[in-house]
Amino acid sequence: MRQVGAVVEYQLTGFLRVWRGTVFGAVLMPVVFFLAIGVSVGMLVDGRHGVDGGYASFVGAGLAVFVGAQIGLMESGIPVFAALNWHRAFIANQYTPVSPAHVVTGQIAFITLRAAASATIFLAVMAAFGATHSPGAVLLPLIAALTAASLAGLNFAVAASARTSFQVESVTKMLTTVLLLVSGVFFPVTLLPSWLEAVTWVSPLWHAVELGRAANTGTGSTGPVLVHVGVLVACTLAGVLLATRRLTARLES
Amino acid sequence: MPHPPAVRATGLVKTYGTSTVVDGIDFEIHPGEFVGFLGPNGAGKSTTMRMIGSVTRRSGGDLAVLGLDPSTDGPAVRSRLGVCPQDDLLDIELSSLQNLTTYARYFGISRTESRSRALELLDYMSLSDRAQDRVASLSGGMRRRLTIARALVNRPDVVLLDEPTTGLDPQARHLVWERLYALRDSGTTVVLTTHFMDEAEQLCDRLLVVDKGTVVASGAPRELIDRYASSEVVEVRLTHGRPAEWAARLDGLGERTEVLPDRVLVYAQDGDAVAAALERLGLDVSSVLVRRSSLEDVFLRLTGRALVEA
Amino acid sequence: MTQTPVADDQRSATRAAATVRYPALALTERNVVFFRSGGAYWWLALVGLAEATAYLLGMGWGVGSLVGPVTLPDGTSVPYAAFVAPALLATAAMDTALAESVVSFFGKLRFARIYVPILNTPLRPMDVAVGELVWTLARVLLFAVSFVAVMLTLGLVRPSAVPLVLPACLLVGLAFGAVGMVVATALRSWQDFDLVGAVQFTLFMFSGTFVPVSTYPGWLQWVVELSPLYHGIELVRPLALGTASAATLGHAAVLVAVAGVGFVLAARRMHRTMYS
Repeated sequence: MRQVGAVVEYQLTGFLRVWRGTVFGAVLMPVVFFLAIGVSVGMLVDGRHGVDGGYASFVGAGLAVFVGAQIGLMESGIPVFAALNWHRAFIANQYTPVSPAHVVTGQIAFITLRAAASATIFLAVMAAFGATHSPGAVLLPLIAALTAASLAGLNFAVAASARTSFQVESVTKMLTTVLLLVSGVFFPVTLLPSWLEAVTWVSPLWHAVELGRAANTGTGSTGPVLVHVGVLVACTLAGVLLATRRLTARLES
Repeated sequence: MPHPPAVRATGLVKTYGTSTVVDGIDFEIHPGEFVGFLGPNGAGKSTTMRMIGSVTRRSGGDLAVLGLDPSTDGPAVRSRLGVCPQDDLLDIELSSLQNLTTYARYFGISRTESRSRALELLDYMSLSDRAQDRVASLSGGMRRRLTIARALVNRPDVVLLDEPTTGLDPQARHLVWERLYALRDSGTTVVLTTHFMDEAEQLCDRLLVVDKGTVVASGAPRELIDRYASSEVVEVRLTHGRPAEWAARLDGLGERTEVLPDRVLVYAQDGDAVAAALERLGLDVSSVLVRRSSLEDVFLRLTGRALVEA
Repeated sequence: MTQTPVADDQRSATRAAATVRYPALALTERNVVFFRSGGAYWWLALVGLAEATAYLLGMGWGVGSLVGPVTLPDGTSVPYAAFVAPALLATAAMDTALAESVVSFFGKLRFARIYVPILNTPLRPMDVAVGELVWTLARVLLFAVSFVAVMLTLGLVRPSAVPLVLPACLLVGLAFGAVGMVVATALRSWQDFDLVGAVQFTLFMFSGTFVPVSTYPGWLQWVVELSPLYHGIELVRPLALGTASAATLGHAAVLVAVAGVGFVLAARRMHRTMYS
């Protein structure tokens, strides 16, 4: 546990040294996202059909969670590849008591912290525009953090195995966009063709989006909520195991 | 003179801000010569090489490389040079073979020609079996040989080697030397920098001894030794006391003495005679070594400092 | 001892070497060699298609089914998917150009340091800039072709518009490629990419991508004019929808100017970075 803490602390130290650049990304991105899609596209949507509770709150809950997914995937891609191949911080770690498992859990813990921070800012903007509908909305940052964790391990494994940064860049982008499409962030999945609707069930992001909407509207019922949380936790554990295995293999090669 | 010099420098100066790295040096390098710049780290060797290679502009003086001015004809000069930088800087994203073929293409060499030259050079450097491997998997010695191969891919008129064996283990070093001997025998003009006197002594036809940005002496290795050092040296170590305290007692034994932190050097034509005289002094001697003078002694004489600091 | 391959007929060899016709393209070729050896072509095509499909379906068709047709400034009305698709295409051109000219270029400049030995060859810093820019455009074209193929399949662009749409994407790529190189030479560490990413994302969101700029408040419409991506979208969209006018030409001119200024700055900064 102490070693995991050391990895998180290492990341935080680096993060605090460059926080200006990051804060810009972490604060501005959610705000921009919400204004452009929630408010701006929302005006077009609501002028016509409208979704329950207004498009801004519908898409807001989805985006809050998606912000977590995006950070989870981005921070476990190129930064991990860089730490193995460019500045080689993970290679240097080999000569310390820090094991691959510590590196993986530490990195993912740091990613969840960042995801929670960004989602909190997103939540504040949503609230300012009246897009929150229940006290349960305060759970959104927590759900976003869990989303980040559920996806980061998988992408970490990819980054640890990749030979070129381009492979990492591609996989990160592809996971992000495909998940965005099949997880009902922008529109209800019921609009998807039925065969694609089945695909959504295996998307961790879909489970997270469902959780996020339930929290925002305060309409969650115990059964589905437990299933969604269960899927996200399972994905997180599987991801950590996979990433640890790939990192160990990479360090031993 | 049948050929114009390959490189001619007159009053060459390089300053960075207020510090002067190269301070008005003059030299000529003739076609087919194997010339070495010998000096400690920071003497201005690499900077001089970079000026010849037309990747650093001179701050003053004149410089002609193959009859061209590097600061106005950079691309033309570089197309006829082969450069082996100190820190290899191979393309880590490519294989050994690809490193050579892509580099040849920068010189406008056709694709088929690039490939045949690359294969030929890999063979020449005993790297054929590593042709498809990425450079990350090569040892330090292999990487250096690959870097030298890269420097030869355009069949240069002048080859610049910056510290070609620094950082290599003795075995890898000898493999590199063997290739450099072959290069010398082929009649290629080679300029190298080094702070290893054995390397300078064995490989170079002529040496330019540099210190603090100036050339302090030049000539063939043996010539320099004859000129600046007696033929033999006696290295004396005593059991007690620092050399500075007892060195004066050795005055008059030879032509000259140099005091080093751990020993005193006595220069003489006949080392054994000095050793015999030393014995008669009845000092508390821990060791006496008689050897032939080397470039190290020349450097000590010229600068008052050892070449490689202990 | 092996005969050294250096000495034979030096004169003729060097004379051939002294006339390098297009030195910059040799650097472009180096990138192609790397790409082919990494098997990355397939990744590239696959990612291009997946991303294009995901965005087109998600934003165009998904959100489009919630939104009605969009009325363009000239009064014509188009389905939302057809309105969004060209904007996504222009954004894809920007993203690809920046991925290459900022991220990859920075890596090669600061970490792999591949340009240092290249400067010992006849290539000059400007040739390096040109070579990388050509490579960036090749990647943009490859991406744009796969994106347009999806648009054609989904009926979001007429085949007759393709010969104009693709060069427009290249112009967007050229402008962002040049600006990206200027940015890359100014970056200090990987963390600065967060900043670049944030700016890129803001441009994506607020360049009239998802809604007509006329729906923005007046002051914001002025700010949007500063976004090169806005001009890219206003160039690609009318060409794709067949509603091009004199104004379209004006947007193209802005991109040409951005590309020109960007390239001059990039070449100058490259020179200073490499010879410092």
